[in-house]
Parts: sequence; structure tokens; C-alpha cells
Amino acid sequence: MELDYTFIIIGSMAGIISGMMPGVGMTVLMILAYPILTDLDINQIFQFYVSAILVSQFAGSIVAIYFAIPGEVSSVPAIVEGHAMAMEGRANQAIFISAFGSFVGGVTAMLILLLLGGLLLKSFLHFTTLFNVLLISLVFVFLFLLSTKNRTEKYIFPLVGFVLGLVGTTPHDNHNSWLTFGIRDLETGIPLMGLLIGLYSLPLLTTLHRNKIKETIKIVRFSFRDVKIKLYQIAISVWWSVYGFMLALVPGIGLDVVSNTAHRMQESFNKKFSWREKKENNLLAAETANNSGALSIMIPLLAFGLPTNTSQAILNNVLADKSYLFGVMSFNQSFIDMLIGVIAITSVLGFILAGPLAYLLGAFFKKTENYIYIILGLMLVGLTLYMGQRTLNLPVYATTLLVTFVAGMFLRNYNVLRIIYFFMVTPFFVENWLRLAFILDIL
Amino acid sequence: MTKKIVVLLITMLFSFSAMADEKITVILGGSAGGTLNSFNAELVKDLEQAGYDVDAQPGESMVKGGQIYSSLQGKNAFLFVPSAQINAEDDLVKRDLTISPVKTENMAFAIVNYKSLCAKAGTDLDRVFKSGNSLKVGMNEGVRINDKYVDRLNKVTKSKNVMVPYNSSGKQIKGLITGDIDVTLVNEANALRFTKEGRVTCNYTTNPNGGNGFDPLSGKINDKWVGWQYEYLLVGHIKSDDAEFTKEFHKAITAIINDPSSNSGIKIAKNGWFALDLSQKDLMKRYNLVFNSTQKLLK
Repeated sequence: MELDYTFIIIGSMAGIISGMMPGVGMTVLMILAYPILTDLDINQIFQFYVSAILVSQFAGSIVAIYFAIPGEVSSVPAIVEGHAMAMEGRANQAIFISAFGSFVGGVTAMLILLLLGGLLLKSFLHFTTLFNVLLISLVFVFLFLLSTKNRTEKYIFPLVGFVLGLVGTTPHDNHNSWLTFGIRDLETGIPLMGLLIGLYSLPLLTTLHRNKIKETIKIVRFSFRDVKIKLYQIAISVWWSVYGFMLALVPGIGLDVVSNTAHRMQESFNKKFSWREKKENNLLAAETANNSGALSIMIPLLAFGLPTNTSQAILNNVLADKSYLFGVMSFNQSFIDMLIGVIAITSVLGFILAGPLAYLLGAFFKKTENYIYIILGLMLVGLTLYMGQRTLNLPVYATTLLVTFVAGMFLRNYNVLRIIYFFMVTPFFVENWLRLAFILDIL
Repeated sequence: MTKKIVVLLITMLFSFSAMADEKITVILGGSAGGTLNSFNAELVKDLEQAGYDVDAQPGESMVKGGQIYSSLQGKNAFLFVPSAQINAEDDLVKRDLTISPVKTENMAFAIVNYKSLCAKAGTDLDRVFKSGNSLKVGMNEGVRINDKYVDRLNKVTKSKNVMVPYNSSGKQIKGLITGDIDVTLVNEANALRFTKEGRVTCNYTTNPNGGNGFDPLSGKINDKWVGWQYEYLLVGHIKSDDAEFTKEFHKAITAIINDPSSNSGIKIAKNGWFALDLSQKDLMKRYNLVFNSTQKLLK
């Protein structure tokens, strides 16, 4: 797999947008990019996605530090510590610490991958259907154990997602379908694009448009003379990189858990070692861990085709449509080399954009915030209808968009991503369970 | 060399007659990155080089692609799918044919391909023919046909092998490599690719005459059942309001696919497929033959 610099640059730019737009993140970015991704080859898709997710971790802290709003869910510690530093007149130091941490996180993840890549290749040879079943079942159990607002979110949402995910061609046999009620247009399943945009993106953008920036600081030009980092902070950074990489490997653990646990633990380390730069260290720990984790969180997807968050589920969907096979069929040395190349480039690019150039991006965001969500919303509706028209399935796309938008507005205070996630992993769950039943000669 | 020049000249000749920017909608049946569409991508290149103004339309699946093709009106449309197999199944369950119309004038070209019996490299493939087995056999023909294959194998070899269904040939190979299944009947494009990579051993083919370096499966298993010598026919369908256009298109595309140096020709060789050089009338006969053998297999 050769490096395609065009898609690394485009992915990095997209990562800036997804990282800086509060609440939007990689999920909406992937929805926006969906029609384009379907036309790209697999190599380009991977390079776009990896660049975007890595750079978005850099960019998320810019809006968190300047405006106290979380660009990414993992940016909450950046608000607590980074914005507090900005309020003390040390915005550039906070920006630098955050960018530096993300850079070390990326480089450490790259080194771990370099060291463990061969081991991963060998281990993939043993990922059988039984292993997949155990893994996806564990993920389901873990998701049920996660705390939710109420019972609707906990039980009804997964059930709704599960049933919707069953509509269409049966997961283990292309020649049959389920729950299509004789409608042949439904044989390809409920369109992901319509469901995502109606249920999640449009209600979210409506809410975001109402909640404008409330608190801000004066954005000043970045200068390296104003910032510094101590030697022991570099060691902290490497430590949290390894922690972030390892923790994010566990399916079901999100980057918010990675960055928040690193943040909390660093607080206690500050006390234990009597370090004075508490806010800086806490920020550094969170930013380093989440950038390192942003890479390793992809490994369950690469190993088994098991997405662990919604943006990955969209990526999985695009790749599955292209008959891409995860694990032993595709994860080879050439793939690892490609990943390492992308990390190296995006780490440098992300550092420059979210460090020295952060003040420019912050100022741009502040000026365009009034229109950005309206434009995005219109683009998403247009893209859905375009996809429907392109696949000669416009009635199904339009109906899905309309019905799910009404449902999404009604449920806008709930975590509807739970429905979407279960919708997307259901085929994997059912396919592997059914295949195991056949292997064990139960069916 | 002379042959190549002649083919090139013929292609150019048909190109010019078909040209003046003849518009055609090519419906990409099959999944985006599957074997069918990677061939379609090459075919589109060749058609464009031959002077056609191609509008490639994603079909998402073979059935959906078939539906799109059948519903398009007032346009020149092209679709390449195993239509005889799909329509035979529709006919058997008494529903509207997915790909229609299927008449002599709608036949553009056809490609024959077969499946190969494979095991993981380093394991004994021939054990599948011994009696008393309880092997796991990976199949990708739909549960209805899958069971027939394994039941027949069990009957012939007096074994209790178990059928494991898959929905893509890549996953079948993955199943072999990880040890989920012991043997599988997989399309020859993948059999050739992964044999070359040293990951699988594939010695037998459903091609009754053998081919691509594989021996006939029906001969090895010593059973004349239709499944062991089943031919997969991929048919290129063309429809247009202009009858002359379909005739010209048949000639142009037949020249393209039978040219080993064209993009499509190279892909055909790589996939281990066999391009047919037949008239539209003979293509129709071949379609009917496979339609009937599919129904025989399904019953």
C-alpha cells in the first residue's frame, strides 16, 4: 500500500473540521464524506480516515482551550485544564502543551506498532469465528453495562438498532433476506446515510446552532518564545502514550474514557510527586493518551472487522461494500508500513496546525460559527438525496430521512448513537453467531 | 503481433461506427469492490477507448443492479451479471424475473467461469474424497444450494461433513486460513490468487474438462451430478430502442473481450475466466442451457 499524499492532506483538513466543530466529530465527518468514500479505492479510504482521526485529536483541543467547548468528546480535560490556563493568559502555553502531547502520542503509537506489528500479523491467523463470537458478545455485554440515562436508552435503543440492522440481505447468505416485507428496494437494507443523518446529524446540528459560543478569550498570535516544556513532562507524555494505546485496544473503550482516566490519574501523580505544573501535566496526560489511543482503537476493526464506535462503523460499511476483508486477509506488513507513514506525516502536520497555526484556526471558527451548522445541515440533506438518486433508491432514502428526522428531533436529548451503533454491528453479530451454529452443526 | 493489429483495427472500426459519442449507461451489478465490478471497471475503460460515452451507475448488488437495468427506459443500458442463475431461481419461486428482457437481441457477450475445491496450504485436500469424514465444508451458493452440495458429497463419500455458509469468496478463504473450515468450493479467481500466494491448495475444478491447472472435480469424485460440473455464466446484457445499436455493441464488445491485450482481456485471464466468442443467437442458447441446469440444481 503506497502513501497517497493527496488523501492524507484531505484527511488532515477534514480532521481539522471534525475536531474543531463541537459535537460534530468524526461521525458527522464520515457521513459527509460517505458518497465520496464510496468512489475511492481502499488504500485512499484508509489514509483519509486515519489522517482525519489523528488530526481531529489535535484540533479538538483548539476550541476547547479558546472557547471552552469540546470539539471531540475526549476534549473535556482540555476544557478543564486548557481553558483555565487560557483564562490565566497562558493560552499559547496550553495550545503548545496540547499539540506537543498529541505529537508524542502519535509518535509513540507509531513506535509501538513498529515493534508489535509482526506479533499482530501472527495473532490474526487465530481469529476464528468462535473468537469473533466471544468478542462481539463481550462488546454487547459491555455496552449493556455502561451507564445510561434511563431504561429506554439501555434496553429499547439497542433493540431498535438490532431489529433495523436485520432488515435486508441475511448476513450469512446473500441469497435470502429478512424483514423486507416483499419490498425489493429494502433488500439492500435500510440506507445507513438516511438513518444517520435523520436520526443523529440533523437534530444535533439544530441543537448546536442554538448553542453559540458563550465564553471566549482574546486570541493572540503564537510564538515559540512564549512556550516551554520540561524534561520530566516529556517522560509523562511517553508514559501516557503507552497507557492510551493499551487501554484503547479494549473493544468498547472510547477515547473519552482514555483521556478522562489519564487526566484523573495524572492529578494524583501530581500530588504524589509534588509537581507544580498541575494544569499543564493534566492536559498533557489527557491529550497524549487520546492521540495514542486514536490509533489503537482502530485495531479491533482492522483485526476482526468489528467497529468500536460510530465513525468506525461507517468506515466498516464503506469497506464492506467494497468487499474488503479485515484481519489475516489484509493486515500485512505493507498495511503496517502505510499506517506508520500516515502517522508520521499527520503527527507533524497536526502539531503545526494545532500549535503555531491554532490562533488562525480559532479566529476563523469564531467568525464562521453563525453559518457553519446551517450549511452543514443543508449539505447533509442534499448528499442523502443525491445518494438515493444515484442508486435509484430515492423513495427509500427520502422516507428513511424523513421518518428518522422526526424520531431524532423527538429523541434529541437521548443518546441515539446507541441505536445507530447496534444497527451497524448487528450484521457482524448475527453473521458470526449463525456461522458458529453451522460450524458446531447446531443448525 | 499481426493478430493484435487485426484485433485493434477491428476494435477501431467498430469504435468509429459506434462512436459519435454513443451514450450508454453501464450498471455496475455486484458489490463495489467485488470480482464483478473490478471487471466492470476495466470494461468501462475499454468502452470509453472504443468511443462510447459511458455513464457508470452503481448497482449495489446483483439483484439491485438487475432491477435497475430492467426498469431503465429510453436509454442504452448494459449490465453484466450471472443472469441465468438469478432468473432461474426467480422462475422457480414464481416471481418476476430480476433481469429482463432476455432475448437474442439483448445478448452482448458472455464469460464462463468455474469453482475450485480448496484446502489450506499444507493440508491434505484429497481427504475430502475419503469415506467416514466429518469435515467442515465452506459454501457460498445460498443455503438452498449449499446443502445440496454437501448432502451429495456425504452420499458419495459416505461421510458426515458439515456445511458452513459464507456470503463472499474472500471470507471462505479467510475461513480456511483461520481453520474455521477444512475445505471450500470457491470461485477460481480467488483460488488462483491465493494458490499463487501459497495460502491455499486448490487442485480440482467444476470445469468438466479441467482448466487453469486444475483437474475436473466430477472425474475425481466419480459422480455425474450436475453440481460437480456446474458452469457459471456471466452474461453481458444490452438493451436499446435502436436494434442496430445492440448488434453493433455485441460486435464491438466481443472484439474487446477476446482481445488479450485489452484491459478486460487482461482481467479475464487473471480471473481464470473463459470469454466466449459466440453470435447473439448462440449466446441465447448458452443462457438457456445454464438456466435449465440451474433449475435442475435447485430442484
